[in-house]
Amino acid sequence: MKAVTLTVNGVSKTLTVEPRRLLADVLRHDFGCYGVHFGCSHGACGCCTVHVNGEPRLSCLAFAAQCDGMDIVTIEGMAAGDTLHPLQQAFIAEHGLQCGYCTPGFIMALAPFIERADEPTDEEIRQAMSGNICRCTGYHSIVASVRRAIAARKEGADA
Amino acid sequence: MKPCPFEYMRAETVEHACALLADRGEEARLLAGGQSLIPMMNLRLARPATLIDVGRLPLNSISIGARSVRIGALTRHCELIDSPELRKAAPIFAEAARYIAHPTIRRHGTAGGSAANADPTAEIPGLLSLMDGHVEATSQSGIRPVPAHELFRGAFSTSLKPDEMITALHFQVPAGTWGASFLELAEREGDFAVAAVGAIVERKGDRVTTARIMLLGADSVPVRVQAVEASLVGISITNSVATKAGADAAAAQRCYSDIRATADYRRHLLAEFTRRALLCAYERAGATA
Repeated sequence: MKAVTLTVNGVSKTLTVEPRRLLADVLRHDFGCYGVHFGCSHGACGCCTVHVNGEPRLSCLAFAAQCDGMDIVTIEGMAAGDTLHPLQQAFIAEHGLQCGYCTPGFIMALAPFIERADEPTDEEIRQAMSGNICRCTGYHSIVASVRRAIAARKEGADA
Repeated sequence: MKPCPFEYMRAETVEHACALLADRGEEARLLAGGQSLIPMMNLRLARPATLIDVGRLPLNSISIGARSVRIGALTRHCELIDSPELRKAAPIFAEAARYIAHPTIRRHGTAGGSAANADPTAEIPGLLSLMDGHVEATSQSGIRPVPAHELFRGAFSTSLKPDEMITALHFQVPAGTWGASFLELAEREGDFAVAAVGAIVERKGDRVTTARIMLLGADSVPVRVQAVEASLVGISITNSVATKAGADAAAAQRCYSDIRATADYRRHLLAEFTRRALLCAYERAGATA
């Protein structure tokens, strides 16, 4: 067993965990972050993407023990109070989800991209989300959601 | 899916990692970025008794010399793409690294981890082979340089000793004007390669002075085709020259059939990628002259 301190969406806890427990598993069971979804458990689907020290990371490809002392944000930590993250708003507006299982992973993976990209081509958007699999939408509406979120950010910056 | 139980130890320094490896090397695995090892553990294809976490060691660095590039073992794949200095000195790194998995995995997977993992179609082992590279194998006995052609023994198998860890990778680049190209086919963006080819061409005027061709998917390790490389020296690379070089390079390969492709299809890809990579590298070498 290993003592591990994690800060998840601003809340710090010190836990004693078995080393083999994956970060995704600890986020779900010990922090109640059920928006962290297991899809494939081997890095092919992107459903479990969270931010570790500000960077997207697959929480099925990290042990909680590795993340001792690190700062983690899950989909539950993306809204500012009652205001959803711009990507969350854009996914709703553009129908970027159907069943929703993959959605937290898409949003966590794409959040840094919409901060950085100004006028991406469709190809660049698709490359940015190539690590995430969606079985419902066919991706077109997700590309549209990303465009809308970038436009919203730029409008906000102009205002 | 859950990995089998294991003991977790974090190395605080390279010396500490080497001491832990000397003590438990046989049953231990090093954990760097974990982007290949953890999936294998989740699938229980790997069941190490001990994991030595080296992920926090200060081994990420890119140093560019006149004829070589040194990449620290924990340099992440995304850094090979994002480094402006490396893009300028040797754009082949970014070109090849773009084929490695997906953006999120490239933020965490490491060059040293990929070399040690020795996946038969992985890009980093391919670049080591293409660029006559070697790794620094570090242990309590010191640092031993291991050239690429000795490092890769077979699929997921290296000549590293149980007490050794890779601390850096060295790549040689030509002295004169040169160009390079890396082409790969995967079934899906970021998936494991079916086949890939890297080529480097150095030229003086219209004549090739040195050529290097590396094939992935021909065997369980990266393959260099020296006879074909030698046949290009002193001539210009035209489409017919490149076509013949591709055919010759591929014809000598046994290749393998698996769930992704037949051996025949792999030979076809290797011939065509070799043709395209040689033409592209030759042209790029001309553009920098």
